Amino acid sequence: MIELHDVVVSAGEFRVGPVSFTVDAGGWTTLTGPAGAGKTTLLEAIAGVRRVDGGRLLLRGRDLTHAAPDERGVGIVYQHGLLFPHLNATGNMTYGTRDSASATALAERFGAAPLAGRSVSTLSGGERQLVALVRALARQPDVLLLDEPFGALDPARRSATGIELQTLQRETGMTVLHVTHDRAEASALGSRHLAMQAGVVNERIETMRRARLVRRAADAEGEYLEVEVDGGLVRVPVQEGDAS
Amino acid sequence: MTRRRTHVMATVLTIGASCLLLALLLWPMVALQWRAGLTGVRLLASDAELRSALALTASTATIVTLVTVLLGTPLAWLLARNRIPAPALVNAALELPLLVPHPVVGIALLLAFGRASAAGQALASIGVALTGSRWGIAAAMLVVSAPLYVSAAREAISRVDPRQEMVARTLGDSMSRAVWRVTLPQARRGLLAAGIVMWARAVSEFGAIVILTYNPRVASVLSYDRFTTNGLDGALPVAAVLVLLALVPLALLRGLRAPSSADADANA
Amino acid sequence: MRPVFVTMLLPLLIVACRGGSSAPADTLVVSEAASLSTPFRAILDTFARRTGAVVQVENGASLELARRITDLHRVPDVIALADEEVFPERLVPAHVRWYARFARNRMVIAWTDRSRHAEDMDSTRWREILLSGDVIVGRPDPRVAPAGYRALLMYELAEQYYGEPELAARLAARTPPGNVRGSATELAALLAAGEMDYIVEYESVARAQGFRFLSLPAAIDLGDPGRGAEYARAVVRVGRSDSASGVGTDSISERRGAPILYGVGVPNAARHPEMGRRFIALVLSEEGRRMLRAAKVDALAVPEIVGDSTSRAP
Repeated sequence: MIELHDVVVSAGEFRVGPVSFTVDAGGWTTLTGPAGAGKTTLLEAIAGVRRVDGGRLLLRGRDLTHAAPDERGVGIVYQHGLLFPHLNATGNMTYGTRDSASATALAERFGAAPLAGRSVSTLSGGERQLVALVRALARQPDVLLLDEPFGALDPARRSATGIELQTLQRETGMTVLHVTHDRAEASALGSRHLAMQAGVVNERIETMRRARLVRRAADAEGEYLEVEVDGGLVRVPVQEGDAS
Repeated sequence: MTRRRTHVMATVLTIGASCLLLALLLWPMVALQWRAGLTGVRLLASDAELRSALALTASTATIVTLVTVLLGTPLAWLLARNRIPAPALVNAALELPLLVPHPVVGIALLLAFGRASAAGQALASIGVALTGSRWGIAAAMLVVSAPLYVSAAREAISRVDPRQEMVARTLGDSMSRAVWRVTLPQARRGLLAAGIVMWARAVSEFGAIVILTYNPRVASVLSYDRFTTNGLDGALPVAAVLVLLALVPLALLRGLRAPSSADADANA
Repeated sequence: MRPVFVTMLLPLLIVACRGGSSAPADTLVVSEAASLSTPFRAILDTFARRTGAVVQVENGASLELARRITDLHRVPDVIALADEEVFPERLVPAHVRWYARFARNRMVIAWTDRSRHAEDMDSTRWREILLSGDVIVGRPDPRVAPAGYRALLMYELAEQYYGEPELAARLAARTPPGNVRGSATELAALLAAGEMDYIVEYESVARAQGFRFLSLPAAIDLGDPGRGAEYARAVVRVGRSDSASGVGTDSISERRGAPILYGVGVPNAARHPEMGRRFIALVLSEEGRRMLRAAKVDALAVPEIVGDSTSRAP
C-alpha cells in the first residue's frame, strides 16, 4: 500500500533517510523510535505535506512521490491536532466532507459529540486530538497516518479510543500507519511493527500477531494491559522499554 | 543610580517623549479644524465643486483599493510563503515607489504609459488616456499606495501558520481552496486594515496625481488650487473637510480592533 | 544606565548648540518665477560676489509666490515675476509698495521635435495645425495663472487680426479641461514627455525649457508695450465655468488685454530690504540689462517704476 524506496526528506537542517520500508494494505502498522528520529517527518512526506527530496514513494502501487496532498487520499492526524482556530469543533470535523451526517456519527462514535459547537481555544489537548481524529476520519480515507494521536487523552479514554479506531479499521479495511513511542500501546494495537533508529527503519520482531487490546488498567502491581490473544485474555505488565 | 531613580527617570522620559510626539501630530490637525472645520462642513452643502472633488477622490481610491486587494493578495501570499524566486527584487520593486518623490512617480508613469510610449499608444487604441483623465488619477494612486497594501497583507498572512494550509490539503482542498477557506479568514482583519491604510494613502496623494491629471480635480488638487486663487481662506476649509473625510477610515480601523474575539465564527 | 543617558542627550546638545537663526546677517532671499531661474542666475552670482551676501532662491508659480507673501507671511527680500500682472492684482499696495517693469515677455506657441506636424509649423499654418483634430494643445488654467487668460486674450486678438470668425472660441475649445494645467512647469513637463504637442505659454518659459517656439505677430502676442490700446480691445471672461459654485472671491471677472512685462519688487515686510534694493538696482542697470539680453530676455531700455517708491537705485 505504502512503499518507500530510499526516500530522503529534509526538514530544515534535519535530514531523514534514505529510508525504505513498506506498509501492507488493510493492516495496522506501528512505527516506534526515539524522539527526534524523524518519524513525524516521514509521515508528513507520505501525506504530501512535506516535499520528498530523494527516492520514490508509492501509494497503492502508483508513484506519488511529488503528487499534491489533495491527490493522495491520505489522512493525517497530528500530535497536537493542528485544528483550524477560526472554525469551531464542528467546523473542523466536517471540514473535509460534505456529508455532515456521517461526520456527526463518527464524532459520536469517538466521544467527540459533546464538543460540537465549542470553539477551538476552549478545548483541552485531549479534546483537540479527538476532533483532529474525527476530522481526518470524516473523509473516509483508505490510508490513515497517526502521529502520537492519543498522547493527551487520559488512560481510560486512550484505550477506548484505540479500541474504537481499531474496530473501525477492521470494518473499513483502512491502512493505518501509527507513530508512537509507547511500545505497549504499539504492541496492543498494531499487527506489524516497525522501529526507527538513527534514520533507519527496521522490522521489529512480530509478536502478538493477533492480539487485541481490551483495556489498560492498573492495580497493586502496577500498570498492565489486558489483551485478547488467540481467543484468550492475557495480562501484560507495562514496563519501560517493553518489547514483547 | 538607584533602581528607583532609574525607574522614575525612565517613566518621565517615556511620558515626556510620548506627549511631545503626540502634540506634534495632533496640534496642527486641531488648529486646522479650529480655524476652518466648521466652514468646511458648511461648504459641503453649497460648493458643488468641492463635493464632486471629494466624490472623485473617494470613489477612485475605493476602486483602486479593490483592484489592489484582488491583484495584491495573491502576491502577498506568495511573498509570505516564500514562493517568490527573487524576493529581494520583488520587495525592492514594492518599496521603490514609496521612496521616490511623488512628482517623480507621476513623471515615471508618464514615461511608461504616456502618449509617447509604446504602452501608451496601445492604451490609446482602446480609448484609454493616462493624462487628464480618471485613469491617470487611478494610476498615480495605485503606484503610491499599493505597496503599502501588499506589505501589510504579507505580514497578516505570514502570521497564519502555513501548516494549516497543508492540513487542509490533506482534507481534500486544492492550494487555492485551502488558502481561501483557512488562511484568508484568519488574516481577514489584517487584510482589512491593510486595505484601509492603502485607501487613506490614496486619498491624500497630490504630487503624483497632479502631474497626470489636473482636471478633473481630486480634493488635494482642489485645495492647492483654492490656495492659489483664494488664499488660505479658500484652501483651509477644503483641507479641513479632507481631514474629516480621513476620519472615516480611522473609525473603521478602530472598529476592527474592537474586542471581536479572536476565535471561531461558526462558518466552515 | 548613565552611559545610555549621556549618549541620548549628547546629540540633542550638539544640535542645540549649532542652532541659531537660519540665515546669517548678509542674506538675500529671492522669490522668482520658475522661468526666471536661468536669466537671473548670472545676475545673482555677480551680486553675491560683489556684496558677499548669501543668496537663497525660491521658485514657484507666480500666484503661489504671491500667496506665500500674503497668506503664509513668508516674505522674501525680492519678488520677481515673468508677468507683472500679479503685482497690482494681489500685492500692491498692502504687501509691495513699488515694483519695476524691466523686460518684455510675450505669448508664444511652443513645441518639440516630437510634436505632430512639427515640420509644418510656421507663422502661416499655426492656426490650422492647432485646430486640426489630431494634435493635443495645452494651455494654463486662466483661473489660476495669468498666462492662462493671456493665452485666451491672444486668441481673441488673433481672431481680430486674421479676421477669422469664431477663431478664438475654436482655439479655446481645442483644449479640453484635461489639457488645461495649473502651472507652466506642469505644461512644460508634459510637452517634454510627449504628452502634448503644442502649448501656449510665455516666451520666457519656452526659452527656459529649451522648446522650439513660434513668435506671433506683435499685434497679437501681447509683447509690445507700445500697443497697449490695441491689446485692450480683447476681453475675456474668466471664472468658475466648470462648476456652479457659490464660493467666495473668485466670481466671473473680466480681463482685458495688456502688454506683458516682467516685474520685480521689494516687499514691504522684507527682512533685508536694503539688500533687495541693491539687487534690483543691479538688475535695472546697464550691466544687468546686458546679462538679461545674453539670457535672451528682452530687457527694456528704460525700466519703469510703478507705485510709490521713496528710494530708488543708489
